[in-house]
Amino acid sequence: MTGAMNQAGGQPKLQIAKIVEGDIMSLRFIGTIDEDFDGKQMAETVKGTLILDLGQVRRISSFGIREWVDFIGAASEKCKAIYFVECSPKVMDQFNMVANFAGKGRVLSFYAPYRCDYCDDDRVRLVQVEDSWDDIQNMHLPDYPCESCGNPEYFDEDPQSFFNHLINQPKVEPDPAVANFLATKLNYTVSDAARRLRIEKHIGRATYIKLAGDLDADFPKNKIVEGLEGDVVFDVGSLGRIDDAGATVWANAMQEIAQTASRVMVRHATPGFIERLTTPEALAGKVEVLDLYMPFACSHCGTTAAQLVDVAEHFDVLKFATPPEMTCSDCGAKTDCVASEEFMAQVAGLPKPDLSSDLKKFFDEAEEIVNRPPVAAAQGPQAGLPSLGGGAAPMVAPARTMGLAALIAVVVSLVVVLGVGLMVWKYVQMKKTKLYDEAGTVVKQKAAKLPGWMKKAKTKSVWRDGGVLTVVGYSHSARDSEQARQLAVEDALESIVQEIADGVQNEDWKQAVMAQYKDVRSDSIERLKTAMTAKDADAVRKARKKVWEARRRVAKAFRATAYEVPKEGDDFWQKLKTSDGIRWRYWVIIQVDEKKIEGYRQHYTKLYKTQGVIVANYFPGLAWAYPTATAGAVVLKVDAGSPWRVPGLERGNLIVECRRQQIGSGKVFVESIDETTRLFKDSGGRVECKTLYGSVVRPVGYEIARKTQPRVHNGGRTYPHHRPATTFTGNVWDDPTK
Amino acid sequence: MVPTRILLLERNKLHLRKLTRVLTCTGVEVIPMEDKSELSLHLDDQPAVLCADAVDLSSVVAILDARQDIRAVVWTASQDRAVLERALDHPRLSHILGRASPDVPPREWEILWTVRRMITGERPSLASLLHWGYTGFKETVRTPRDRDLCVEGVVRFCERLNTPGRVREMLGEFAHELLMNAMYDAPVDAAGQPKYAHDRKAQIELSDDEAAVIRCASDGTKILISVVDRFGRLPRDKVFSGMLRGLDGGIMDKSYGGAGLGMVYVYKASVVSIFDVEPGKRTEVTGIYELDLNQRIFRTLPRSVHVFIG
Repeated sequence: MTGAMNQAGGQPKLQIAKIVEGDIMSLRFIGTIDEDFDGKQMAETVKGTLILDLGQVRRISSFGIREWVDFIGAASEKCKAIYFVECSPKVMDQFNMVANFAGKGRVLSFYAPYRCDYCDDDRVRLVQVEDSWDDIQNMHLPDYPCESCGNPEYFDEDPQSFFNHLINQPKVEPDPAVANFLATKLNYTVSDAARRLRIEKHIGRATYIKLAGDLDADFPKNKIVEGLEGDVVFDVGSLGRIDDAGATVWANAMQEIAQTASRVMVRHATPGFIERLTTPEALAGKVEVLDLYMPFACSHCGTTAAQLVDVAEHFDVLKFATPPEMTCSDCGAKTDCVASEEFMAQVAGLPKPDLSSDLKKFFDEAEEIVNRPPVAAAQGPQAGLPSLGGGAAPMVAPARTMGLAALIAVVVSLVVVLGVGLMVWKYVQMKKTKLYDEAGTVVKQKAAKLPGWMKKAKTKSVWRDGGVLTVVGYSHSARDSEQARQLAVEDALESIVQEIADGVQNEDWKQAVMAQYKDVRSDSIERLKTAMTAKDADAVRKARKKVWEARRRVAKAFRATAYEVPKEGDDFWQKLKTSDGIRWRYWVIIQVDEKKIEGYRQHYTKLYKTQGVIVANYFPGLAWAYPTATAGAVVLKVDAGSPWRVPGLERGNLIVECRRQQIGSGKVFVESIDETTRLFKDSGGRVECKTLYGSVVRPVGYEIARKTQPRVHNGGRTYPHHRPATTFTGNVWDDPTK
Repeated sequence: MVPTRILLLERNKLHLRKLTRVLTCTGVEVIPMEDKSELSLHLDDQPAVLCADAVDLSSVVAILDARQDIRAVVWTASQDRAVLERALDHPRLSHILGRASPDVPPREWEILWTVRRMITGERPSLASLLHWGYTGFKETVRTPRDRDLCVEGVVRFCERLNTPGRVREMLGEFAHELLMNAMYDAPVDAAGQPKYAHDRKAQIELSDDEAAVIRCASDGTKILISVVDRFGRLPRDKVFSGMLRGLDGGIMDKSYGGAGLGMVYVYKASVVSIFDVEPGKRTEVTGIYELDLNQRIFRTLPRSVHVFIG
């Protein structure tokens, strides 16, 4: 921790904590950024990927801004990427107010200010930009129930000003290594997508498996264990959080691998891994930890860095639960190990590994291969084109002493150049109207034989058999196998939602709910089919984005509103080699009892009535038409005598909020309105709700007339949330004009 | 030229009636008008204060261009730059009154306080900006350590009033900003050369003649922070151009040794800011924050700015 600078009352005004691991550096700013902060000097110490934690920045003076802009400007030149995490509202103000305050940095998360008027209290809520992308783009953060009183607390900022910087920022998905660094080394909250487990495998002299992301119940044990033999090494350096279910399934996997593999090794073990996954069960009598990360602090330069410790090399000290002596990678000074006693005790129990030099060499090579970016991205769009240099070179020299042979050579060269030029021109034309083609060649698939359900799925994706509904979801070819699987699951869930809707008999419901999204859905799917038939790559991309985003929303809404989500069954995958590089395609089967489908149907079509308004629960299919809502109450009917008819509440309206309270279902709507009516029946007041149409919010409400004289409160009542009175000790000044 | 009349132009009949009543309390004749076409009927050779809604800004500017003995006060319900730009160009348009929406008139106390002061030329005490019964403190600041202690004092003062944390920190920043200007920008030597502006990090110690004075007070509905220096070197155009720079996205101006964002801070942190400059003698900058506002409303609330020179 660097104690910065000038002080009042003994406390440093600004403290900066630095943590470094490999190429990633994190700086946490705590306190006030003002004239005492030396931006240029600080910028000299940064490198690689820079993470700036600005959650505890209290104040920034105008001269502090000047220093900060110097810092971020220089850091933007030196660092390959800059991420801002947990930005305080103060920092968000500066992003919006000051040009170049962010440099080339991108905001990953921020604290949004919230307020509960009833409690007279202000709070902040951490918002992940990636998770709340739609809310940010719509400049609307939802209300939440106050933890103290249950009344709604609301986003206490002007959205136009607060999101001004963010809506102009491109969508950021941090590198998995950064996400894991944030989650594991710094214990930050990271978005779900960034934490999903990714697996890279390289087979050679041994099997090298790199894991990145969180280890939880979704760990694909069977997929990993299947066919493992010989020497196996797991690179766990980018492993994120490990929960109980993840630890159990990992231990089971190790038990199974220990039966078939000759050796099982672990590289780059993190403190979290050591603490949770070096139990006797998880080591399975066979797992050897080759090296591990240990935290070391340098009191000289204030850096805390995780350093890789070779277990075999330092075994003689580690076995006594003693850390080895290490020096600071920044300044070379001696460091102190800051690992916990529990961690050291676990390390002391590890067996001594014995690694041959050729195996070590293979591991280093394999690590480089699995960390390499995808083939297509690395080669870039010019890959495969002949080099212009080879054809152009002969043109330069021989002009002055040109004989016949030289002349022929020049003519040949010209032909070559023209030929190459023509190829380039054709390539450019092709790029302009790039044809859609993702069929590719299957280079690998889950099993040589297709499972029975896959054969059936070739002709239809939904069928019924013996009171069971079977749905097969499929993905388009995706770069990432996990992403492909997720797309397939979402497709299957969306199909189930559609099956639920198709069986509804209530005509009012069909008119109010299905009619709203039916055309959007069929048009979107039709457009995608047309684009694929036309093989127009751009059109496919656009249409597919629309369809898959809608399916994702529908699946999300289904998960959020159904009392139980159908479980996924078997899956099948193919690895493809396409003109755009390696792609994955997935199929997932989900089977649901027809009785359960009927149960869902009853849940979504159950009617609730109050004040002549009939509503039903939000239906997930509506997510096709409503990009921002995943809950609410849908109006099916408004009776002629209803007080809601005059303000214009209509069939099909989606009610999302009443009296600043979020409406999650038809039942909540009825309860909210009934309670309001009770409250206002004597004193009178306005009953107001918000309805959505697409992404347009419309308030709708009416006045309840006052029936009695308003009650008069005499003074002296103390409200529970009022704080005790305070006495000022300040001196009252003299009149400055005298 | 002391104004002897108030020309009041307001299209909203209810607001016009109310403002007429309030301005009558200044003690001079008030001529209310609903339509700008009536203005020409009342423009004689007597100096006057022209009070108008910013929707009629072009008419106000035209009159200021034509008549040197008229000074203007305008009120606005929007936070756009048009009024500030006009104020930058017209030295006799130095008073902008912000209001929450076109449906409400400007604050009564503010318009009365402003126009009364324009007419009488008196500088009322700071207490006149608060309800009777207020409390507060006053400190003299000579060193950076004094400054930091005073800033913490302001934050603690706000804390006792149960203001939200963000408001406390914002007002702490505001006090720090004003003190930095008074301590580093304002002091000049006998030749009129800035003494400390070149190095904001320097550990200076101001003499009694140079020391800045900060006052902070509240009547429970407003918080007032004021900083005085003894040099009177704040030019009028720096006030408006600095605020405009803030609205333009916070472009820095390093030419004076700082970041050139001081006025942005004043503009952002106060609903009413008052700049009182006696050239060569004294500069007083006062910011007022209304305690009943939540941040969502405060952000979009049009600001009031007053500049008094002389």
